[in-house]
Amino acid sequence: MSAHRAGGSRQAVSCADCRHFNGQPADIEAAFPGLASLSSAYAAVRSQDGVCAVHDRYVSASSVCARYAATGRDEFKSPPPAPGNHRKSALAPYQ
Amino acid sequence: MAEIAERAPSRFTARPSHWGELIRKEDWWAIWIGLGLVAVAITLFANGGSIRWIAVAPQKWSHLADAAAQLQAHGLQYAALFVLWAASLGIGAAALGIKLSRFLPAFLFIYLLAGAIYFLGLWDQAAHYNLEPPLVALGLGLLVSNTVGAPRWLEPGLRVEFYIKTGIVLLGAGLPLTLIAWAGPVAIVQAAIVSLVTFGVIYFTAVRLGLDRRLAATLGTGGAVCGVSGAIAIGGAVGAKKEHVSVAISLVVVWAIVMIFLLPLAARGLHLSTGVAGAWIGTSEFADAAGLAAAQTYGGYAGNVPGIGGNADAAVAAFTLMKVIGRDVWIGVWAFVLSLIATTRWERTPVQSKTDAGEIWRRFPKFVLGFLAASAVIALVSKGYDYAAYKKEVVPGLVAPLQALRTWTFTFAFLSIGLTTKIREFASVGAKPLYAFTAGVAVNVLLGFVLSTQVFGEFWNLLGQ
Repeated sequence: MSAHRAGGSRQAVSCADCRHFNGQPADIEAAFPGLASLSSAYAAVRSQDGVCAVHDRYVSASSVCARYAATGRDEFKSPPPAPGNHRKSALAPYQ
Repeated sequence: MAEIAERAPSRFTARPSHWGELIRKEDWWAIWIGLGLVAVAITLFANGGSIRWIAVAPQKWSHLADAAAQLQAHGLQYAALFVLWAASLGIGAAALGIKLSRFLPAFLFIYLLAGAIYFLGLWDQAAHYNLEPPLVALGLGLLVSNTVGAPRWLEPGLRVEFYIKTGIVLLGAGLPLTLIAWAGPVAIVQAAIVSLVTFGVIYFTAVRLGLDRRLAATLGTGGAVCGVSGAIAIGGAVGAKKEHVSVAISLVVVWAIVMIFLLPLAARGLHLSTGVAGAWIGTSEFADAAGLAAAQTYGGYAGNVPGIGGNADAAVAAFTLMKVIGRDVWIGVWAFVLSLIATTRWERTPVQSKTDAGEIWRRFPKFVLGFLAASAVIALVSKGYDYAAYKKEVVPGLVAPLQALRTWTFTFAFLSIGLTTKIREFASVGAKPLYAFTAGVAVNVLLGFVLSTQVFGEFWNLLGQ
């Protein structure tokens, strides 16, 4: 498993804590047209899944990858986008 | 297709706790609101009262003057009902993060429009002109959103699933627990057959066409289990590409909307009874909200369209048993199994999913618990009544008002489906996903028809008696 280890703590971290991961319901509904028509990003079936902006995948919050980047106000700076990932910002419709 | 931003710094919060789900997920809010209303109704009923006054609903009318007279006579009740819905749904929406100041104006508009559609449906010529409220709400919404477009200020109030789940919890109060226990196993068997076959057809057709296995699984569960909810749940469980989830959602929504109109039309042409048609719709529709629109439409034909047997409630009851009990509750199992297969058998991706059996509970559609609880509580309250007393006292004083409230929430949902469905915004799906999904739709509809009318037809007919 290629789980990224945060800093020197050697503690396994997951997508839930990664700055490239977005599981905000309003953003998820904006990203998937049609989702709010017959389902919802606030539904239990969605668990804590979110979009990974680096890999352009919809992943569960407990997933891991080698591109993990810790969240934090001081270090919020997006890495260059992966090929084909333009990462345009979606307006959160309710906020 | 819309892209998604990375998390903004302001959203850096602690990892949400499991208990936080109780106020962060709309499933739980549907339970709090639905069971809260049931509790108030029971308390009043036990003390010789009823929520009948506030659970106001239009009655049959022939001329506009009759409808106006109804409105004039019950204006205060309709205003009170708005306050009740605005308060209960508003609190839930606020807890989900939707600003109350934006939700309330939108909801006022939806309430007024839903009221007008509800009134229209009670016109004594409505069936003659095919003006069933679900179809009118849906058609009107689709027309607006795909021509001039729904205004942005309306969006916070268009919560299809929130309304439909609250309505399903309330629906539990009208379905006796004994009926659920009697028909549930048959629904589970029928739904299991159709779900497995439909998933297999879509999945293997997609793989054969060269599509990614994660896309194939996302398409398969979208068609076989619970529509858009199935697609988004499995997309996350297997770590599908974002564009693949969009493709699955687009296909499910388009086919689900086609089926809302097609299934009642076909069942009507075949003169199926309401119970049988409800079972067929429950087997072959893809989403709860879409299926309830079709089932409620068909229930409305009972007594209004010659040749349609069964009672009006049987279509919604059979649909709910088939879809909610037979299909929806298994989504966690599907997610767990497919996640396990994805991590152990399919080609690796840069992101590695962790699979554990807790997935089954985490993705369980919790509102089903509220549906069952409402049914159980009403069963307990009715225990001391014989059938005649139940019909004379419990139904008008307790069950019927709760069902009137349920009809309101369903109408909010049907209206919201149309107003949120913007075909032009859907992802371009490509020919291969379309072929695979359509193959599954064809098999699903035919197999669902055979099982509902031939194999279990007698059983579903009994439901409507």
